[in-house]
Order: sequence, then C-alpha cells, then structure tokens
Amino acid sequence: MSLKAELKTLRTRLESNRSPEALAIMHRAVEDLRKSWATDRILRVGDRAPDFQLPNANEKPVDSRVLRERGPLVVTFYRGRW
Amino acid sequence: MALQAIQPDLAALGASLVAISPQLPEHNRELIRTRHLTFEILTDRGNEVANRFGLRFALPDDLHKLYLTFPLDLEKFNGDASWTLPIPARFVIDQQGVIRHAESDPDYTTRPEPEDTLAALRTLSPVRKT
Repeated sequence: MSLKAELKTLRTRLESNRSPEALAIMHRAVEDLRKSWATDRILRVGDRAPDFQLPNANEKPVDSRVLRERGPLVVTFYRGRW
Repeated sequence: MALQAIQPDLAALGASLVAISPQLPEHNRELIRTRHLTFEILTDRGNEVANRFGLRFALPDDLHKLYLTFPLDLEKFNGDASWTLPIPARFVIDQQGVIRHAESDPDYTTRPEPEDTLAALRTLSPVRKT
C-alpha cells in the first residue's frame, strides 16, 4: 500500500463516524502538542541515540547495538495500529 | 506500512529498520501476518525508550475519556496503564550511534516520506560487513 493510501485508510479508521465534538478533541490534542514545550525534548541531528533492547513480535529481544554493528539503523516510532 | 516498500533499498544501503510502538507483541504478530512485513516491530512497554528519545507524552484527560468511548482501551492494548503514547518520529542512526536524520510530527495522520529517509542514508557511507 502506498503511503498516501495508507494514511487515507488510517484517517478513515480513526475519524470516520466521529461526532464533530470528538473530532475537535482529537485535533486539539494534536495542536496542543505541536504548540507545547513537549516537542523541544525530542532528540536532534548530532545527538547520541540511546541504545535499547526490546522484544519483537515473537517476544525475542532485539538489541540496537547488534543492529548498528551491521550498518546504519532506521528507527520509526508509531502509536500502534488501532 | 509503506516502509515495507523501501525494504529492498534499505538492504542495498546496508541499513536495518525497526519500528517501535507501545502495543503488545500479539498485535505486532497480527500486523506482520496481515501486512507481510519483513522488518522487526518492537514493543516498548510504557514508552520507556520513546521517553529517552524525547517522544513520550501523556494523553490529555478529554482524549483519554474519548478513546474509552470508541471503544479504545489503550491500557489493554498496550498492557500498561500509563495512557502515554510516542509522538510519531523517525531517526537515522549511524554506526557510531549518532543521529544523522530526525523527523517527527504530532499529527498521527502524517508520516515521514520514505524517500527522505533513503536520502539521509545515502549521505552515510556504511561499512558493509559481508
């Protein structure tokens, strides 16, 4: 699925059949976060990335240091698939 | 996930990809099965790692109450009662552990363009181990 199609699906799943009041709460939460100090804490280019060890889908630990030994590492954070 | 589409490009650049969310591994297994994902998706309980990247936030009370009416019980879904989430973000980390590219957006309906991630990786010269 293309990125565009995927985002349309995501928006439909989360936002279809919601009342205007519900949508207002959802959108305000995003805007408040954008305007708040919260985003100032996010690590930036040149910062040291924390290493981590987390369980994969089969509950086996994955260590970022092992992955970095093989090459560059791309880390994507997402909220979940609900 | 659109990221699956750039997996061959990432492999050609010698890069690894992991996706991190607070949701429990059982939900990640479902995602891998239905979307045929070949990269690792990891469970960050309580968004502890997200917090170290500066991404964790607590849901405002009105949004917390609203989600419960959907119904969306994050506590059950994530196996954690914190009602926190990560700000969606992507980082390119070099082999020395330094962040070389960073993107984030609190709007959960946007995503970084995969092409920007690839462009950042091309500026690195990975030491390929064969």
